[in-house]
Amino acid sequence: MTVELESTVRPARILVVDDERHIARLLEYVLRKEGYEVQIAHDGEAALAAVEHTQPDAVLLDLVLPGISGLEVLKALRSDKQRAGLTIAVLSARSFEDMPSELIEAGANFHCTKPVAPSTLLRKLVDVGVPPKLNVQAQPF
Amino acid sequence: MTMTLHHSQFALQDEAEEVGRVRLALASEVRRAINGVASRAGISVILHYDTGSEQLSGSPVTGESPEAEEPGVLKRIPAVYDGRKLGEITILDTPGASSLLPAIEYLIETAFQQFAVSRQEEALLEELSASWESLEAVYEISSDLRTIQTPNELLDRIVRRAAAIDENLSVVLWIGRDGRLEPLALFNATAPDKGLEDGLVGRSIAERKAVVLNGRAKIAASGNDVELERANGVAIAPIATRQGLLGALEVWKEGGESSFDSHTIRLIQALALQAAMVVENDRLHRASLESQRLRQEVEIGSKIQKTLLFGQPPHTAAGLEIAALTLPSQFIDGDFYDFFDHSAACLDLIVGDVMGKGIPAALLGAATKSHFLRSLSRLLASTPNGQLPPPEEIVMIAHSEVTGQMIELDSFATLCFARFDTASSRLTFVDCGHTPTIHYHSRSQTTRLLKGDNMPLGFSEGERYRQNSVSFKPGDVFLFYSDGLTEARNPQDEMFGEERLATFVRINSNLPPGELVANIRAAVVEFCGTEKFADDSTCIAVRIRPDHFESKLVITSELDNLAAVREFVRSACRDLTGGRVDPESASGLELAVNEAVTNVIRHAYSGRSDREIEIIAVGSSDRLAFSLCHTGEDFDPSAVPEPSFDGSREGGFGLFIIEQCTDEVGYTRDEQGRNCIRLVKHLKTREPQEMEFNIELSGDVAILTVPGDHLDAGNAKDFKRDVAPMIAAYKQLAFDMSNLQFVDSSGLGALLGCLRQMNSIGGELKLFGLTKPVRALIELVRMHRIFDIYNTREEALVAFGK
Repeated sequence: MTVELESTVRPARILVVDDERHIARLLEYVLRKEGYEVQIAHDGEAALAAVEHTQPDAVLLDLVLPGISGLEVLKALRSDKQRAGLTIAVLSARSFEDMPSELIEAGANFHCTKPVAPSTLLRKLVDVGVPPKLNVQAQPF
Repeated sequence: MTMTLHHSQFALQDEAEEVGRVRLALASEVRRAINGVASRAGISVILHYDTGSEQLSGSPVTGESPEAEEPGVLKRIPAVYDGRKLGEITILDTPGASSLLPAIEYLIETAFQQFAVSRQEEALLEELSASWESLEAVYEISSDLRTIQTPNELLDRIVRRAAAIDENLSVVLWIGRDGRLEPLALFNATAPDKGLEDGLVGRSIAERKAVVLNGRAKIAASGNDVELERANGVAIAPIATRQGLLGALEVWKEGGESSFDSHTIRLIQALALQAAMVVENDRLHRASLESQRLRQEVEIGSKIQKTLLFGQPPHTAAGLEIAALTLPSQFIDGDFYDFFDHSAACLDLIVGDVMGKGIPAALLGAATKSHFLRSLSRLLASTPNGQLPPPEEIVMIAHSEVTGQMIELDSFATLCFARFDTASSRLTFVDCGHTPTIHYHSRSQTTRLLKGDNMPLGFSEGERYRQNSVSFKPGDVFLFYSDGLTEARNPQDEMFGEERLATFVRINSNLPPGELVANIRAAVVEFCGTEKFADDSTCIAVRIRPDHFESKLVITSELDNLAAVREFVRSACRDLTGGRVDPESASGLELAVNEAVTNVIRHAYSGRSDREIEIIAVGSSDRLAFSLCHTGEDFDPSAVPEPSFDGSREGGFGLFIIEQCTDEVGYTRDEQGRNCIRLVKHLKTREPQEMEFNIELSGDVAILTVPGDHLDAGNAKDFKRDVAPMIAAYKQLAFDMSNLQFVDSSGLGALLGCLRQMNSIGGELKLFGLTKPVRALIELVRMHRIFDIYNTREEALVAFGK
């Protein structure tokens, strides 16, 4: 007996984490327009909860957050071996230009400085393996 | 209900597409709003539009049962948005619909409002997103501005950034120049110039509006831009700055689908602005560089003039007074001059003019000078005993070095190389096509022009150069000048000319050269009526010092050099005063200077033999002065005790001797900070009157006592003239020579002249009482066989008539 595995296409899910509401809204707008599914969290705790709950394919993480910092969220996410496949991108203001190596070492997949050109962000997401539509192999039981 | 949104600020393309998109968004908004209420009640709401319809709620009422009546329309609501009719919403009159109508209407209104708000928000987000897009590009380019130096690289970067917006893009940056558009930077494109008003680009610039077109058909319909032949999408952002720079950044796509939108155009506008800034900055930079370059050239030129082209007249030159004048023209010229001070009795000077103007001529002038210096050094090094090479040799060698270069540079130089030798009172010069030198003779008060006939330097290789020479007297003036001076023109177009210049020299000949030269300057300025000249005017005035003769000796502080010092004093006494120092005084001076030098070596320099002492001798009309300059310890004459004449002490006589043998002793410091001991001997001033003779008769013989202690170049002529009547009067004449301490060749000549005169009238002339030095001279020239010479008066008297 052969089990045929269907491959389906589903929209990729992205969690946007930023305490500034309009920035989060803008990112959501840009990503939605492209075809992603977007969720928003405004602080670190909510972010961790959302990852647990909705299991996104990628997280856009702002570095400066109230409460626990973006860096701590990054480390927390990376310490979970089960989430090894999770793509995490860190966004920061221009003054953090010299942070990239530290962030990459902590486990970020890529880093952008704000304002990031939407085209740049979308391209980076595609490059890192999170296009708007993902091919998903249906898992056989 | 209508909703408005701000108008798009550019000529966008697809009305129909846009309307469709908006309609869809509205439909889903309304659908969502009425979903709960309408579906449960089974109310049918439909959005109709000209090309179709959209079921918003309820199921489409189809002909399931053909007998069932088609429901009528309960209500129609027009959906207008942004002034455009999107369609019409109809609510069908199905059972139960009318009772829910108010609710449905309310919900639809809410939906419209919500739609409007989210449309606005979306538009703003669209703006914001476009801004971020272009902002990132601006940041990138800005950081490039810091690192990239050339405008071309920057423009290339900008154009590449534009091309990165999508795949298969071509980009051209157009910049206007002289009524045409030039493609200043390109990516993936080739494009020729176009007119400032041609095509889509021209229209965009003219209307100062961006242009975005998607679709091959639209582009084809819009015009016939050459580069857009195969484009299926184009976006153009115009450039129009306040400084008047016009241009455009044009981006188009070939192959694939083009989807230029507000994002795109926003980015392209930002990049176009950057490009405009780069081009404008570059243009400003070039303009300022050019004016800076011009200013620099003038500055360099005048620096070259001051440092390389013109030399400094030496302060104390061989019995000469020198002054130089330069009147620079508005443009740097090729005039140059310099001085080579060989010794106390010899000065060379060179005055020249290189053909041409500007820095090239100035540089050639400087190079020519340096070649002369080199030839001079080389010749000096190769001639024995430091003998000076003759001017014509110097010029020949310099010529051979310089002519090759000048021929290559299509230039030539006129010059005059002149050597003043005050020991022989001769000027030797090599004139190479230069202006004639004006020579004013002080005795006759006339001017003459000195000219040679050599070719200028740089005409042909292998020219021979010949020198000429003239003698000069104290008070003579020489004027060297460049043709800029004589060819200076007045408003009536007359030239200043040589005659005027020569006359000027004659009239001002009694002035020191500095004043002469200043007056020439004033005269030229007055003549031309302006201080701005077309050519450099240069002149150098040299006056032979009427009564001031100078000589120098530099020795190391070794006692062995004392002999040379004494010789120097002897020749100074002889040469610098026209023989007005009597031998006794000369010996005394020799002694005094000897003692002073010894003191300097022993005490001021504490016996060190590696230091320097400079001895300057100056003879003028009433004195002969020796200055001993040294850098040793100060000397305090008052600290020296009087010598004891009883022989009890060995030393201590030096200072006493010095004071006895001189008329003045002074201790000063010169401008170089050296200590100077000055020893002065007063001289009798030259008496121009007739000589008075003491005549004594002894029988038929007249005894004439030769007055004064010297018979030399200074008074020999006068003596001969004044004694002639005596000779004519007394046929038997005896000269009492016992006063004479010094006779030179001129004195001898005068005596010979007397003898000849006497012989011609058949008389007798005898000499007696010659002092040792005089006798020595006469024996040296073997004149003791020609003259009748006796020791005493008695012996001479007895000899007459024998």
